[in-house]
Amino acid sequence: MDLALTRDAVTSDRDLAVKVRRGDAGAFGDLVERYKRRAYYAALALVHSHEDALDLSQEAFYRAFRARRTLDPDRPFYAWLYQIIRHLCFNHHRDRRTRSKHLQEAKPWLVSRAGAAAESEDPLGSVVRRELREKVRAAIERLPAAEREMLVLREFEGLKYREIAELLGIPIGTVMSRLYSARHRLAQVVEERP
Amino acid sequence: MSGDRRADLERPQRLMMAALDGEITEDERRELDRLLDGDAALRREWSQLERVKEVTGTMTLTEPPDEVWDDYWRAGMYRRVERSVAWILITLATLILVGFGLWHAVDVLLEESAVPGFVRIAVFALLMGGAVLLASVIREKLAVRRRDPYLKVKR
Repeated sequence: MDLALTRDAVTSDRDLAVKVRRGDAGAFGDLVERYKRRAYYAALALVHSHEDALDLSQEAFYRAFRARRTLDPDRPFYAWLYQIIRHLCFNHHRDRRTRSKHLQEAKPWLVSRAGAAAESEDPLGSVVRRELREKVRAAIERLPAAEREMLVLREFEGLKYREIAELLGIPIGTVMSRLYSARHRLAQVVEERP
Repeated sequence: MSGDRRADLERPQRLMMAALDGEITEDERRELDRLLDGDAALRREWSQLERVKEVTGTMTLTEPPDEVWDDYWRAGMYRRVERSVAWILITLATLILVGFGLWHAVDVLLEESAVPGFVRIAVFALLMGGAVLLASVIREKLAVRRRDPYLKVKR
């Protein structure tokens, strides 16, 4: 999954954004095609549920199209969209009823990258690793939202510090500090004896 | 805590993050190595952070079924557009029908000679009160919207 904000993508986004501002639904469809996966994964990382992530990412595109006149073609489209996704997801989380429902029903949103073959080579080690991953996954869900978001953007979306800073409109130092806080909390979980 | 003291504490933390994420320069790497050599607690923490990185490196976000992408635009966007249009039509129709019904009811009531004068006055006052209340709420909403310093704040 190439998530880098490349110059070509930004240039091309600009042309599409200009058309979208004029009300060109086809151009907006191209932007949806380009960013639907990133939008979905961004929402998934924030709400941890497939159904909610799908619904909220679609809602974000819908709101983006409705607000197309405020779209600035000279700024990265995804950064603008991400702010909408973030806003929707944080509002969604604030709803306590939704949150408790999601905690009861959510399927795992983080899974092992390792293949089944690698796991079967060392069954004992595999069990230990699986338990550790499960502990870390649970700890990631308990992280403060801002720290969890930072960890996901860096670790699972593979963005560089500069890209995260641009996306969220914060200094790189803040990105690193939040990332440190998140990993520091996870380190305490990893060090706990079972 | 003073700014300098905080910066001193944060420096090793940021160096460790940059090293874990492959965003460290050679000079910074040497600086981190010097710090690690001289601080056992920092070495222990570095080792824990490396372990965390190792574990999170084996995790990835769950892939949705492929059908989700095939139908993403049509199912999600068109459904919302259709429902918005439907809600607008329903709201407009309801407003027109309720308005017409009220108008008609008041008309019938006022033309009915058996209705006492105080009831006519009460009906008139009720309608006027409703209109003034509606205008007041709309005016307040608009005023708050113009002055709201948090309007553009993204939470």
